[in-house]
Amino acid sequence: MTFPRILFLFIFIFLILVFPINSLACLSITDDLNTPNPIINASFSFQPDINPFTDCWSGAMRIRSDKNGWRLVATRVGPSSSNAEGNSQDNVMANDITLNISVQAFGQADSNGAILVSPFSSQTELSSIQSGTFIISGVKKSSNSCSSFNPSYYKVTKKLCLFRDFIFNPGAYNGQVSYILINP
Amino acid sequence: MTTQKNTTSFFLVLIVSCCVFFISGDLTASSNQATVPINITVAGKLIITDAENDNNSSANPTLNVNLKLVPDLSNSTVSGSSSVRIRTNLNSWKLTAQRSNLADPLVNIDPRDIALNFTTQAGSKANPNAGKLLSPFNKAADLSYISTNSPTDVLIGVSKTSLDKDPENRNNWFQLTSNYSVSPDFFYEIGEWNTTVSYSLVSP
Repeated sequence: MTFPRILFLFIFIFLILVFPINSLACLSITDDLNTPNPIINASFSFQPDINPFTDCWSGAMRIRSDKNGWRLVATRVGPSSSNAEGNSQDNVMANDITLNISVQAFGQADSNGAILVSPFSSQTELSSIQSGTFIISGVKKSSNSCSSFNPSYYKVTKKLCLFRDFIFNPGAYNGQVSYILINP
Repeated sequence: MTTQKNTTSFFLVLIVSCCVFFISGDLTASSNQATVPINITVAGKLIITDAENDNNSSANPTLNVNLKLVPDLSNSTVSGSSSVRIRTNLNSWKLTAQRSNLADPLVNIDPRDIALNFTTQAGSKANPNAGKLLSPFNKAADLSYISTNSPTDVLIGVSKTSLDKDPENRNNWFQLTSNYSVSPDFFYEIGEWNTTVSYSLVSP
């Protein structure tokens, strides 16, 4: 009886060692509250005004990977409006919204482990994100664990800004950006 | 019998191990996405500023026009003006005016004696046709055309004032200049006569 149990235990340990739990893809995105697969709402509500000139929003997500190679890609839809009044050329469009992405390493994560890919390495527009657009090249793991509570992670901060220009048609505009963490 | 039991147990442990392994892997792999819904609400805005000090601090300005006249043989009129700048992203708007008569009855100036001439102009990134002067203000008029009883329509706005993007709001203004003039007639009594014209930008 004892021998098979020891055998099973060895088999189990062998499985864990050869195929660690996260071997499929230890990739994780959370928000700052460590919620997996977060939905981070970016909301702007503004009236055009003479000054200040811009309205900005910023949000952050945390990336964890136990692999040295990973990628962050993004896909955008909109923004578009169904009720904006006026010439559609004066609707708020993706190229009206500036986008600044920054990356910081926390814990054991290597400060050079996540590299922003051009044009996201400097200020750009939201329109730079299209379908499956390559945003970050991850060259180093954050640590050996993707647990949501692991203090080692790459923090990606996104800042969107919109000028309070009088050209924009009044109305409600909706869009969405989906960020996906993948193995190359 | 014992061997069969052990084999069954072995496969059970193997299946459970595989399940733990795959479920854990799937759970980790499934947390690889973040969604950022973007919601933008742009509200309508109507703003009037002082053309001489065109910024937020001069919104809803009070502009004084002083006409000081000394009767004289020459017939040159005394005039003064004020200019306001209008900005709006609404495609339908109007500017109304109402006058409160503070006239000193001892000075026999009549509102009809004060000529009123409106002109409009637009900044380089504004639409010069965004607003149209309404009759009778589209030609020489006088102050009596601005009622003391109710708002009088002066300008009708047919489009937003911006023609192009101007993030710093420097050249996207539509300007209304009001010119008031009076002749230095010996008919008028000595004294001071005042009136206030209030302009309001409204969305019909």
